[in-house]
Amino acid sequence: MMIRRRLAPLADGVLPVAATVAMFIALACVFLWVPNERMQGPVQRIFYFHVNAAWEAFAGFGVAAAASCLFLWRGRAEFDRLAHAAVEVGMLFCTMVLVSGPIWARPIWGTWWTWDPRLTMTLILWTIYAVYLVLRAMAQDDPQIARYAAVLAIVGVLDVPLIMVSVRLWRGMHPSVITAPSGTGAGIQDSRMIATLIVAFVAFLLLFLWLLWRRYEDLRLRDELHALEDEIGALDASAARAAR
Amino acid sequence: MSNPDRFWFLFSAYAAIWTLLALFLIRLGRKHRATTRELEELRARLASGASRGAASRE
Repeated sequence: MMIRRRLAPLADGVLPVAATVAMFIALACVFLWVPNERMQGPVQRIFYFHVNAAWEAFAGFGVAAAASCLFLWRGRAEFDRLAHAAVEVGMLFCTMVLVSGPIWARPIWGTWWTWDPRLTMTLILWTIYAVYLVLRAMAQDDPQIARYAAVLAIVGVLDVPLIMVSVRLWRGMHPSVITAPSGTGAGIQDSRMIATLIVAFVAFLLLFLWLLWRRYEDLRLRDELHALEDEIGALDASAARAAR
Repeated sequence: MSNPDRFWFLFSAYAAIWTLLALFLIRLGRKHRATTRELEELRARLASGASRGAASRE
C-alpha cells in the first residue's frame, strides 16, 4: 500500500512522458539513423521492435509467474492482480512479436510462417496465456479459478527458456542475431545498430512498466468497486430487515 | 525483391505494432473510465444511504 502510494506520482506522471519521448527517439533511430543491413535491406529494421517486443513479452510472463508464486504462497489479492495485469501486457507484446515476425519472414524466407521450433514455441506460449485470460474472464472473482490461473501462469513461463535456447538446441531457421558467435559474420556488429537496439530496449521497458502500472491500477479499482457493491448489498439487506 | 517492396513490409510491420498498441490503450482507457464512473456512482449511493440513515436515526 505504502509502496503503491509512493510509486503513483512517478508511474502516472513520469512514466508515460518518458516512454513517449523514448519511443520517438527509438523510431527516429530506426527510420532515420541506423544503416541498412547488407543482406536484408530495410526490412531488417523490423528487428529493433520485434526483438524488444519479445523481451517485454518474456518480462510480462516472468512477472506473472513470480507474482503467481507469491499469490499461491501468501494468498494476497495484490499478487493475483499483478499476475493478471502482467499477463495482459505480456500478451500485447507477444502478439506484436507474432504479427511482426511473419511480416519480416515473408521477404526474407519467402513464407509468412514456418513450423520452426522458436516460432512454434512462441505460438504455444501465446496460446497458454490466452487460455489464462479466458479462464480469468470466465470466472472473474472465483478464488479457485484464480489459483488454477496462477498455476497456469507458472507452468507457461517454462516455455520462455525453451524459446531462448531453441535456436541453438534444434537449429531452426530463426536467426540468432544477438548471441551469434564472434567471427561467424552473423549478429549485429555495427555500433549504430547496437545503439538503436539499446534505445528501443529502454523505450519498450518504459512502455511495459507504464502499461503494467495502468492495468494493475485498473484491476485494483475493479476490486474496490466489488467491495463497495458488497458493502451496499449488506446495507440494503439490513435496511430491508429493519423495515420488516 | 526490390527495396521499395521491402519498405512496404517494413512499414506494414510498424503499422501493425502501433495498431495493436493503440487498440490496447483504447481498451484500457474505456475500462478505466467505466470502472471509475461505476465507483463514483456507488460511492455517491453509499454516502446518500449513510446520510438517510443518520437522518432517520435523528
